[in-house]
Amino acid sequence: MSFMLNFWKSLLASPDHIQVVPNTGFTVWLTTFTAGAMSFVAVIGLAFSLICAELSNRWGDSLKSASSIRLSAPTDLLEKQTSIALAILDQTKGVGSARLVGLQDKKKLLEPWLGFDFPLEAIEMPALIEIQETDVGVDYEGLRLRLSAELPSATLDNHSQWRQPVEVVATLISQLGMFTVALLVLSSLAMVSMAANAALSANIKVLRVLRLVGAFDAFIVTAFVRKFTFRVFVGSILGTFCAGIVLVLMPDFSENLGILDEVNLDLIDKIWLGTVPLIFVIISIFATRMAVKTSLKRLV
Amino acid sequence: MLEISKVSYSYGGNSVFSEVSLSVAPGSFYFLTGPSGSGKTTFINLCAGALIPEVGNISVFGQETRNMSNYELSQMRRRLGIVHQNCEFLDHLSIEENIALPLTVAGMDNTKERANVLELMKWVGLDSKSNVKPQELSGGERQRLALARAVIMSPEIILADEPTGNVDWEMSQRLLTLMIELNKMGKTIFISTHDLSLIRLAKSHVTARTLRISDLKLSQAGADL
Repeated sequence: MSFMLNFWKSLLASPDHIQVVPNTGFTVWLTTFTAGAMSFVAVIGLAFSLICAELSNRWGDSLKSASSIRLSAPTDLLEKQTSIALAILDQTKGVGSARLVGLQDKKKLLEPWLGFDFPLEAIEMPALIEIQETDVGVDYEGLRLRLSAELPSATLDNHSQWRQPVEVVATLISQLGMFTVALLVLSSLAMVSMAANAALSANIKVLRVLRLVGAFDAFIVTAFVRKFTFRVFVGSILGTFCAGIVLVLMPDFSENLGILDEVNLDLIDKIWLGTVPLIFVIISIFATRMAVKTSLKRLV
Repeated sequence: MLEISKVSYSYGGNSVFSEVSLSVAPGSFYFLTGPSGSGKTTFINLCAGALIPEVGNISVFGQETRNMSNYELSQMRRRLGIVHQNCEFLDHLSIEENIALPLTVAGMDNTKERANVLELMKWVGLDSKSNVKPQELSGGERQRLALARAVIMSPEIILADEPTGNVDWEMSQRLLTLMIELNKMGKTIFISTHDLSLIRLAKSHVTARTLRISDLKLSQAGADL
């Protein structure tokens, strides 16, 4: 902790450190562009990973506590059977709420396949009751037995058939996203190292001159780390900003697609994305230190 | 001050020196001569701690270069003024900033030291070019700039490797005059050169010893030098 504190103090100390490393040359753009591009990809990758994690949790949670009863009966019997089903559910332990899915909700559910103007009321549709569980949980076997005795036309579906694969897929996508972010951090480390090495190769004369005039290695390392870290920080801020703009525009696309429209990054997620430039600063400090120290070792 | 004891050095099996010894007293003036490729630059680099002898020891200010850490080597270089034939500078800095560079890296860049920089610029005749960049200077001016940078920290020893190698005779004389002035201030001067007329000229103004590297050995040159 004190090491990091001293390091930051030395980074912010004398402006003399800055002036010994030139401000010009292709390496300035190389370093800044690399940091910017990698930050952009990292922010997008991290954002998708966080969205997938949120989707995974949301799907899992909503499906875990939800089930439904489908009632297939002639129209004149349907209302009576619905009342019986709701009464049974009212008496069943663990049922938090039971709601008859109305025509408008059915239309919305079927809209992707039938279109928004399909006259659903013209056809005979089964009744659908949505059940929300309490934390206690529902004894589905018991409920299924009771329904088969009292309402043979009712079909209970606790979504277990398709809940598990959805959860598995969502979790896999989320894990893949995290793995991608980890890979991105590692490849960023490699890219920043390469950019630092390229910059050092272009500035090898600076290292020789500084050694000749008696500069301590710590001075040389700090001078280069300050300069490169500043460039990386600027590039990373720009990359993160551009990625932020892309993410802000994303909901419009998803609304048109009819999916992900309820998925947004919350404050914690945005804070995570905001740490990307800081992560790049840390990467730059370590990569540049390593590169400068290696170059100094090679120097005669 | 500078002790060289039975030093041997080779490049990839090709010997440059074999058991060379020398003791340099404070305030002395040395010329190091020898044919091209005889090892003059290697000798200067060994004395500056840029190379470490394979065999034997080099002791500068009482400390063996072999045992010095990078930190100690840097400290030692602050007490040495080093001038190379192909002198290098920080091209993005002005002449004034390049002369002040040793002060900057030593954290001594204060007002008093700045006055010394201006005085040194006058001394080497570059005071009218303080804001010019090194790449805009002629060969002779670059050598004078290197000399000014080498002496800004008031070093006890000045090691100059062919400082007149790339300049005309007039500029060589001017550089030599500056070196002689430094020696008269008590600085130890060690110059490698193949310019025998420069050595003769120096000897008419100052007591200088001439060493010659040949056949892997370091020997005192003849009286004609």
